[in-house]
Amino acid sequence: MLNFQRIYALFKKEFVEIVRDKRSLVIVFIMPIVMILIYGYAVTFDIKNIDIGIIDRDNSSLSRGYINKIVSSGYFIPYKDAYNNMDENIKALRRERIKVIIVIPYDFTANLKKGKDVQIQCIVDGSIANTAIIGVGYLQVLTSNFANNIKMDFVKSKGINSKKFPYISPEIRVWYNQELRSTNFIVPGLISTIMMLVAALLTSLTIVRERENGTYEEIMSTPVTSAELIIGKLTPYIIIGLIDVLLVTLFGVLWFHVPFRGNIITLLFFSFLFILCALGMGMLMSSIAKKQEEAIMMTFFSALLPSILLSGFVFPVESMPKAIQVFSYFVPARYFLNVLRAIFLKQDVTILMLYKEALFLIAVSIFFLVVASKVIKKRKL
Amino acid sequence: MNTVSVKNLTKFYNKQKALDDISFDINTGEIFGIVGPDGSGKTTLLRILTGILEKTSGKISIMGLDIDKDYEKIKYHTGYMSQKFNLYPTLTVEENIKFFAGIFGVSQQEYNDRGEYLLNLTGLANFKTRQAKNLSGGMKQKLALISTLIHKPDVLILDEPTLGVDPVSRRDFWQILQEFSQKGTSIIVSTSYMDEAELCNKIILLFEGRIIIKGNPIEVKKIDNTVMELVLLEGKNIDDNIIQKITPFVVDISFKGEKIRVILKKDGKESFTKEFNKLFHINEISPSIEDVFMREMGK
Repeated sequence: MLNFQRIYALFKKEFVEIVRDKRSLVIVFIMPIVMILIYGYAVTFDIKNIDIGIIDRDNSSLSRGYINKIVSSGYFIPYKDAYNNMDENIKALRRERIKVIIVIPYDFTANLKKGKDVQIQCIVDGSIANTAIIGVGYLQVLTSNFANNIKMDFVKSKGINSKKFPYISPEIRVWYNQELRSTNFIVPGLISTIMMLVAALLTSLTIVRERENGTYEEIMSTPVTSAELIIGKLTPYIIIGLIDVLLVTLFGVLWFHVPFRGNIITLLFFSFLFILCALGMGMLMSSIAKKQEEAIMMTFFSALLPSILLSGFVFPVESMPKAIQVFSYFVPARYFLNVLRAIFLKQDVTILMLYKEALFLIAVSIFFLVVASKVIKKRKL
Repeated sequence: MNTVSVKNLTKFYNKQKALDDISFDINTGEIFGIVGPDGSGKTTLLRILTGILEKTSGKISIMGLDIDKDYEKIKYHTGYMSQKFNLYPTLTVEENIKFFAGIFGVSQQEYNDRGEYLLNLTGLANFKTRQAKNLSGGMKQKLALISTLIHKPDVLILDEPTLGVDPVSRRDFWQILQEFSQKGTSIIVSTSYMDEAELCNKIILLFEGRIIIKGNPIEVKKIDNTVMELVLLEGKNIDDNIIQKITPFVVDISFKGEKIRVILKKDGKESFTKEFNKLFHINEISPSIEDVFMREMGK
């Protein structure tokens, strides 16, 4: 039987402690905003302004047109100092001044005119794989685009009706994130990371702090049960966590112009479940750790890192090795992230549609809370 | 009436014996002192009584309730103050007390009456809105005491409550304890201060987890060893040689300023005086609890 007077006493005490503790206040209100500002700008998967070295051995109007196409796309910035100087370009690539070199061959125009295949040499710094892959992708698109235009001109110049010319081009349509802006994709990820950090970190401190104050011993000598202790201590953090979700969402929508197409009730419902998971994890750390520092470290490694690395925030879960995919089932951020991306980017998403995520979140939170309360019961001191 | 009864209590930490066959009874309104050096098992004993630690074997009943069966009920009858004062540093004096009142289900009415009374008794009434971290050591200790008394426990359990507190606060604190014992609260208090032991109605001396002496302080001090205070005569110097000569006659020797305090072996008074009266002024003094303790440990 839960005694609500006791739970209320614990709740009130915990709340006052948070409000009067500067460190907690910073974690609650300052950190989320700073994090979303820093990461919202820094963690971007849109790659722009790739420095490129250009060697134009043909030096014709066609080759200049091609170069112009690449430069005016906005994705590449030419490294002018080494223009047409292979040695300088290679040096620049080596010291990471540029990421890509393209070499236009002598016979560029000539072969094109004859209708022969033309190959453009493209040297890419693969040490930063992400940039390399994306850069090459851009170049391919730009080049085939350019080639198509030439074909069209050629066809026109021969007086053939271009509409009759068999010409196939893929027409790609993007749903949900039409602009393919990665901030739209990242902000939801950030929200789950920030929530995990705030909720798990704050709770991981609570019981250790009691132990350090020596108050834990007194609490244990009172009639408080471990269920009452957990409920009384966690409720303030659930409230704070929900306030934080709203705060960060508001920031994402107003500052980064991320669309918010779902509804707020769905958001709060799933946030509640997710916070419960995070609190359960924090509580568990708290009851295992002996010192506050220890609790912080444990939270970072077991709660924060997985929710960044294994949740699908940075790397898609599907592309992870099977064993790690299994492990990622225990990472609550994985489900919350799906939910958030859906709520932000898709219309008419209801709680029912996301029932799988809801069930998983409930299961994970129950798991952590039960284990935490068992540990608290067992480790009396 | 026995408020606390302990029979053949034993506690092992893994294979290490921490408490060995402890038995005692405490009556209503008694101040029961647990005296012993650090590591003698005082805190372990108190933690077992409060239910924070589990015993290995033995029987404990508090207010007629068996700790094995009615442990949850017992918690309403006891108040425990641990070595570190049990306070939330950022909560005010009043918030700290209200918290513990809430935990024990004290009604608002009871809280008003008792809280005021306790605050006035301890002189903390003027500091109600001060955060606990800003209190002096003595005030912290009193606040901790109020927090453990707010639910009117029948048995108060205090673990070295005066450790690190100034002498004036210590005296005040003991006056408050005596007031409560007169009202019928049984008080179990551990201490390593021997002068505090003398203020108890009953004491046990704990050493390496065993009770080596049990009784009231006056009985306990009736030992048949003589305690002597020695002062060097003019022009004499003390050196290792002399100490070595004294050693066979005594169970304990200690130095207090210019004075040397010795507890003699049984019936050793005459031979000792004969041997050393050319070197020292020899004065017989009445033994303190500390002397008793030293003698017992020396055995």
